[in-house]
Amino acid sequence: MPALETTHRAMRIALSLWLLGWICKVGFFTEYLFGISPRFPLRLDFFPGGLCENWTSAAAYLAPIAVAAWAYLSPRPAVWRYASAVMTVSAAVLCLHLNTYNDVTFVTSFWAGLWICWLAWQHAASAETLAVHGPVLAQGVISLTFLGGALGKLTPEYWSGEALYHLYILQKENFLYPWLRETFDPSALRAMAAWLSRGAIVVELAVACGIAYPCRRTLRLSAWVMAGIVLVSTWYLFSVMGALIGVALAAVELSKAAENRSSPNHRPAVHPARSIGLTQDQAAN
Amino acid sequence: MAGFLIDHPLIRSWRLAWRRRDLLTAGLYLLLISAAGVALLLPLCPRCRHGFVAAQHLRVRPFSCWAALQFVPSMYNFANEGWISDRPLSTAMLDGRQPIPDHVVHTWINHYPTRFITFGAARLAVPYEAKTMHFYFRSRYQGEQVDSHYVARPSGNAVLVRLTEDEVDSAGP
Repeated sequence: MPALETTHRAMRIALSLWLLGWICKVGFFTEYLFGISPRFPLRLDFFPGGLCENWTSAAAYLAPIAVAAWAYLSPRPAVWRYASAVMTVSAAVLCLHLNTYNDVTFVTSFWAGLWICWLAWQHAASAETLAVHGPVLAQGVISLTFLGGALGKLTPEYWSGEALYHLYILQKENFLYPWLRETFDPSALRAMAAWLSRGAIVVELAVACGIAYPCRRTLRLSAWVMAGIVLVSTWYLFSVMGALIGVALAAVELSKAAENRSSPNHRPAVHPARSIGLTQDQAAN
Repeated sequence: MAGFLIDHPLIRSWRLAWRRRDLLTAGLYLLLISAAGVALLLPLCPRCRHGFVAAQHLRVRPFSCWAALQFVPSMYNFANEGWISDRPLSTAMLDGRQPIPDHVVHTWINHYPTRFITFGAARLAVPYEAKTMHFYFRSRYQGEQVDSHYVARPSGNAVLVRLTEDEVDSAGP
């Protein structure tokens, strides 16, 4: 049974948060990609020709804004497919371009873009199919992001807090860091950095482990954790987390819709959650 | 261990999609599993560690290998430090065995230290100086250390950035 309405709702959630994350730093990126980069060109042999050109990065940044907004307004699956492909390819190009490589905004946008592609191409699938795979794939994308972050911190400089002490407490000029430097002595700040750093590793590993239990509660919890990270850090971090929060909430929508359809008149032979080994209660949570 | 992996929701769902010949879904599962597998090589495979750290210094060849690693999330990975100077520095200075001159800027970098040359406002410092600048980067991860020395110099209307030959790799700090 097709679930176009469900897909449309989930698609709008995912697209809106993906787009919000993408344009969250629009001021910075327009100044950088249209101002600084063309005025001060760099040449670095490592990157192949097209991935050094300033117009490539500028086009890859602008194109998805237009198509994602179009897809958000359109109820046509063909538009979703086209837009999600452009969004994903653009993010991939920016992950590899001299001007923008390894900006985590584009890494998370790429993976979230793949999930949105999957949803756009699955618009004709049954609500049950969407509810089985949507949450697992969404949690997979989120867990992968946090897994990559956590594994790279499993080194003495992060566990002791030394890296975070320098990166945040000594070098950051925003939020509460100048106040911390004025208020506390270096040994207290180092102790603080150690516990913050260990906390970050534990939280990242916990979210990464969420894939062991990919249900609605885990997705909601992951979304809350990501929102919390943005709140205690800087609004700019929404550019990294926005797309992932969108994927989590869209997957929750898919899961809820399947449950709503499981009325006495419309009960699937096997509850979607059962097919991947979860009980119905676990999935509802 | 094998039982745990086979019973993992990700694997179970992938098998379900595969059985139903839902190739798009199965493909996305496979991509996620592969990326997670590559990420896990970092702590689990000491022989691969050097490649992961070197990738952050733009020193993995061919480009396609480096490109593949860009899709494995790596925010705030490794302990990365950078030294920026208009004169060459010695390894003894970077190791702290000799004092670092006052004009040298020393900073910690969250990830991909070469972005300190190429990305955002940091990029302004390179051409504004209108002279040769030396960028030294050091990344450490569980005993693996990669040091790189990049030189940026004006060339026509652009700034030419290149990795110099005197970079030093060592197995430990």
